[in-house]
Amino acid sequence: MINIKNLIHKYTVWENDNKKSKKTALDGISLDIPSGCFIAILGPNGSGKSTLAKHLNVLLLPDSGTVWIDGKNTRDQEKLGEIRNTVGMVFQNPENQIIGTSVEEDVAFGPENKNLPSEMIQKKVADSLHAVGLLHKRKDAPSRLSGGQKQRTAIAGVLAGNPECIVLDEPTAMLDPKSRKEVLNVIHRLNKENGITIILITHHTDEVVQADTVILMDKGCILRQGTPKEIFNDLELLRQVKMDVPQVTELACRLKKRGIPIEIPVLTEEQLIRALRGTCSNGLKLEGEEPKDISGNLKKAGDTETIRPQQEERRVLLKGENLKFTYGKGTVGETKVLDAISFEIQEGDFIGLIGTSGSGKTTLMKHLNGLLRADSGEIYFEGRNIYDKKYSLTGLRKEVGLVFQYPEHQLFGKTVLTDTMFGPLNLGMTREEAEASAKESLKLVGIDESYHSVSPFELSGGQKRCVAIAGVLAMEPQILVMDEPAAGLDPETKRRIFELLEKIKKEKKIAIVLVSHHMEDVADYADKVWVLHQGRFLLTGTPKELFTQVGLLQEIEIGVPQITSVTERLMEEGFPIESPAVTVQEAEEMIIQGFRRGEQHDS
Amino acid sequence: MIRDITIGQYYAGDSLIHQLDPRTKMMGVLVYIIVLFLVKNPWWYLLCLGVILILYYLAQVPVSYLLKGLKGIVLLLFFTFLFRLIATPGTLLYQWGFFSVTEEGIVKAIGMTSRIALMITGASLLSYTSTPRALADGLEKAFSFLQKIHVPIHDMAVIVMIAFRFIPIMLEELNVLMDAQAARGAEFEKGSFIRKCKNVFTILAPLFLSTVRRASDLAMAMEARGYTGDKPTSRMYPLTYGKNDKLAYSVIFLFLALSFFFTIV
Repeated sequence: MINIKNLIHKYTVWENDNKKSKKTALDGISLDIPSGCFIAILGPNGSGKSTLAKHLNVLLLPDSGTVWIDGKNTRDQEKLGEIRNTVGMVFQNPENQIIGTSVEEDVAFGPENKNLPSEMIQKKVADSLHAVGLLHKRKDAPSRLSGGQKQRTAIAGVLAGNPECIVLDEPTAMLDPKSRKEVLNVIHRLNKENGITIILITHHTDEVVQADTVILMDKGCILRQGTPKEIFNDLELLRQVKMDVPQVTELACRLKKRGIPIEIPVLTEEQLIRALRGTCSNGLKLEGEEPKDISGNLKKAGDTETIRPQQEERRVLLKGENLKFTYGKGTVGETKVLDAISFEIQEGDFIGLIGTSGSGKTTLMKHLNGLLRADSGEIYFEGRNIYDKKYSLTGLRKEVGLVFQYPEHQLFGKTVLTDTMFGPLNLGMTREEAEASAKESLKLVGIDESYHSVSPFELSGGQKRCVAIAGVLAMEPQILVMDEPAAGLDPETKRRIFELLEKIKKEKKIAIVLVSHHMEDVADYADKVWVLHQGRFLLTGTPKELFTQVGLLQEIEIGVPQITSVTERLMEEGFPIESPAVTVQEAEEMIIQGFRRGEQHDS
Repeated sequence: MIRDITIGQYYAGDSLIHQLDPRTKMMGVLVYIIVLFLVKNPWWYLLCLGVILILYYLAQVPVSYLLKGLKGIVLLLFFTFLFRLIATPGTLLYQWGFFSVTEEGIVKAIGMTSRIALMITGASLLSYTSTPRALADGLEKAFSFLQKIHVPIHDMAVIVMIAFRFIPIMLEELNVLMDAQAARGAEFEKGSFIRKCKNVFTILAPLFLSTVRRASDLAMAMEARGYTGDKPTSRMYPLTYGKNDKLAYSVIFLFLALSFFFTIV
C-alpha cells in the first residue's frame, strides 16, 4: 500500500533576518505499510511524526528518497489527485479542519471538489455519516458539536472520498476522555469492518496497544518497529524517548520485579487480570521480596492520613456559598451552568476540579477571580465579599491567578520579560518591582536569563506554556487556577509542567486549583478532588475516597485512572485487595500484600 | 455586546420559507427593501409589518428571534427617532431651547425608525432561513455572469463561506483572550486612551497569530480534500427553482407592482 525509501526531509529555519539554516525533520525513513493494517506511529513532540504524515498525503515532497502510494510516486504531479483520493488525512485541531457550515456540507466538500453528480454526493455523505454515527446530526452547525463529534465529522469528510488509507495526525490530542474513546472506536471499526488502512499518529501509549504494528520514532528516525508486545517489552527504550507506558504495563513490570511470575508485557486490563488470576490459582509462592521495602512504602501511603487533621487549621483563602449561574438568561439557549455550588479553598491546597466537557468547570473557574458574576450566592476572599460594591476586582485578580487553556496562544509581548511583566504592571507595581517579580517567576518555571530578551514566539511549545504560567505567577497570587495545563503536550513535557506545579506550591506556598478531565493527573497530584457534574458537586474528597466510587464516576463518563479500574475489577474477582488503588505504586503494594496474605493462609 | 452579533445565524428548520431557493429569497428581500423606500404612506409600513409577521410564521421562526435581530441596532433606532423628531422643520408643536418638535417630525421619526427596523427584520429572516452556504451558492449563481469578465466569483463564494464558518470561532477566541488578559489585570473599559490602545494590542496580536495559524491549518485541510480552486466543482444540493419558487416570484413582483401603482397614482 505505502512504500517509503530513504525519505529525508529538511525544513528551512529562518534565524534572525537573512540567515537561514536547514533543520532535518526526517532522516532516512524507510517503511512498508501493507494494505488493511492498523499502524500506530508513536513519538515525542518534534520526532517527525507529523512531517511523515504530510508526506503520505503529498502535502510535502521529499528532499531526497521516494514515497510510493499504491505504486504511485508522490513526485508525480499528474497523480496528485489520485493519491489524495487514496490517502485521506485527519488533523489534530478539530476546529480548523471543518470547512462547511453544517455537518453534511463539510462532508460533501471532498466529493464536490471531484465534481461528482449531486445524487452520488448525497449518497456518499449519508453513507459516511452513517459510518461514524453522526447521521442524526447532519444539519447541525459544527459549533454545536462536541470535540469528539467534530473529529468524527472530519473522519466522515475523509471517508466520503472512498480512501483506502486514513492518516490521523494526533486526532485525540485536544479531546476529553469520552470523546477520545468515541473517535478511537470509530477508527477501529473502520479498520476492521471496512478494511481501511489506518495510520494513527499519537503520543498516547494507551492508544497504540491495539494496533497491528507500532512504529517508534525519535529525532526523525525510526527507532523500533514491531507489534505492541514487542515495543512494550522494552520499557527502557520507551523511557529513553520519554514516552509513557500504560499503567497496567508498568504495574505488571513492577510486579514481575517483585517476584510475581507474570508474563510481560501486559497491555490491557483484561490481560493483567487474566495473568494474576493464573498466578493465583497456581498458588505460586513469592520469591525475592523485601519486607522492609514494603513497610517503608506503606508509611508513605499513610502520609495523607497523618496530614489531614492539620488541614483544618489552615487559613481559608476563598470561600463560595451557594453559587448559581445561568447562561443566556431569557433566551432560547438558556442553560443552568452552576447550581448551588459551595466550596472552600485553603492555604496550601492542591485541588483537582474534575468534570466532563459542559459540566461547568470553566464557568466555575471564571467565578473564582470575578470574571463572571454569579446570579446568586456569595464569594468571600479572606473573609471579604467580592461582590461588595467597594471591593476591587482588579485586586482579586492579583490574588487569584488564572491560567487558561493553551495559555501560550495568549502571549503577545515583544520579549519574554515584557510579556511576563504585563500582569504586575497592570496591578500597579512599579517597573522595578514588576521586573524583579517577573524575573523570579521565570526562574521558577525554568526559563533562564538568556531567554529574557527573546520573543516568546520563538520558543518551543512547552517553553511558551511555562512563560505564560510565569506571567500569572509574577502577579504573586495566593491561589493559582489552571485549566488543563497539560493539554496537547507529550508525556515528558506534561510531567515537567506537573513537577513545576508541585515546585510552585512548595516554594510559593500557594493554593493550586487544577481543572482537568484527566483523572490520572489529578490522582497523582491533587490532595482534594471536586467532581462537577451538571453544575453540581457530585463528589468531593481525597482522590482515595473518591476513587472508591468507581461505578459512579464511570457512569457520569468521567472515568477513573486505569490502575483504579483494574484494581477494582480485581476486587470483584475476589482478589484480596481492600480498596481500589489510586497510583501504580499503591496497587503494587496492595497486590504484593494480597499475595503474602494468601501465602500465610496457605501455610 | 460581542455575543449579540446575529450575522450568519441560521435557524434550522424545514419550513416552506426554508425550502425556497436562496436566490428567490434574496430577490424577495431586495424587492421588500425597494418597496420600503418607495412608499410614502405610513400605512404601508403596517402592511409590511403584517407581511413580515406572516413570513416569520410561515418560516416557523419564533418572534423572539425577530426581536433579537433588532437588539443589535437598538441604539441606531433610538438616535434615528430622536434626530428626526427634533430636527425636522414644520408646524411647531413644542419648543425647548434650540430643539423643536414638529408634527412632520413625529411622522418622519416614526416612519424612518420603522423603515430601518422593518428592513433589518426582513434581512434577518433571510439569514435565519438560509444556511450561509446556500447564501454563498445563491450569490455565486446570481452573479455567475460576472465570470465572463473574469471576476473570480467562485473563489469569492468560497471566501464568503469560510468567513461565515470562522466568524463565530474568532468571536469565541476573542472572548477567551479578553478573559485571559483581564485575568492578568487588563482593563478594557477604564484607563487613558493610550492605555486602552495598549490593552487592545494585547488581544489583537495573539488573535492575529491564531488567525494565521488557523488559515494555514485550514488551507492544508482543504488541499488534503482535493480543493484546488481551478477545477470545476459540483454541489450536493444544486440550486434549482421549484414550483414554490415560481409562486414566490409571482407574489414578490405583484407586491412590487402594487406598491408602484399606489405610490405613483
